[in-house]
Amino acid sequence: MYFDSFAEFLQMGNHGLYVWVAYGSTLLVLLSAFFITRSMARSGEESIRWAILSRQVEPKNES
Amino acid sequence: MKLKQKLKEYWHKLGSPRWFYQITTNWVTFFGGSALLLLVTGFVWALAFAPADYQQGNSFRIMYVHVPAAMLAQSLYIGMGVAGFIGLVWRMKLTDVAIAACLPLGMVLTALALFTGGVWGKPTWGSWWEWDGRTVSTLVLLFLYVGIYALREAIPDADLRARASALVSLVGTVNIPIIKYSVEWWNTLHQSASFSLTEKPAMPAEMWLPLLVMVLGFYCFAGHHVLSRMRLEVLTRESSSRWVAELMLNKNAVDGTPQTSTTDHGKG
Repeated sequence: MYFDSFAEFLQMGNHGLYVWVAYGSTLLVLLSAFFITRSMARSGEESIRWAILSRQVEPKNES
Repeated sequence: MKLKQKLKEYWHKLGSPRWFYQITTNWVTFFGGSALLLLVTGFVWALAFAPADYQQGNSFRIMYVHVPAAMLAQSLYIGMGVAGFIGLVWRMKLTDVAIAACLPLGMVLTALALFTGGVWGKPTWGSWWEWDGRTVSTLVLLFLYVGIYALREAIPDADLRARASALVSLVGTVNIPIIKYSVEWWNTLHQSASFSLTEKPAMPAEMWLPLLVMVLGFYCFAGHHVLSRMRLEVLTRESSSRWVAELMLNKNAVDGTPQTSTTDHGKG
């Protein structure tokens, strides 16, 4: 550990605000990119599955 | 002879969405796991263990997120340019899927690189924004990303959209060498690269090792992200084909009666 105490770690030698804003924004970008893509994939796969199922079911209902 | 044939076969397979989907299944998991491991290690190392710079103090730690974001933003653009070239020459459909998948992440990362650059510039240069060669050429990169994004939104015809974005992606790659050499051509504020593939870094290992971990983590993250998006797009585009039907239905129902598994979703 480079810092002697947790308070020093938070302060970052008077550059705390800049460092934490930079890291926070990076983390926000990475996390939102991950979760947005994951929810897109899930709902997308679900609707594809629905479309396939309805295609399979429909001919039986009509006959 | 044999190798040439093998390569040719591989090249043709690349155009097959089904083959792409199958081969990338394990890659996504690999990239995702590596990204998580590398990024967690990198964040902790860069924030708490790397030594502070003797001139810049702790604001130097911003480098560990600024540099990977900027590198990846440019790499994704190069990827789009290459995909655009292949798409224009060989009419491969998968290349447009690749461009669409790289675009949003590249755009956000360019913005992030500019933002973290500003946040780093304030305590280091004394201002949030400077009209420096590299900041301006990176701003041009952001405009290129936004431009292609707007272009794709504006063109409803899929074929025309693919060709237009392939062309702009390809032409826009001239900006990448400009970003790279901007620090040498206009020797202004932005410091030159502290890290390169060919030379020994000027910083001590305890400073550049966390950077290496972060860069690798960002690239693995991009691998996971881009492949996931491409796989979803491939599934959507191929949703009427047989292999997608088999794949999607086998996931839920093993006994061959998939209809029963969907009743709990409440659709009449």
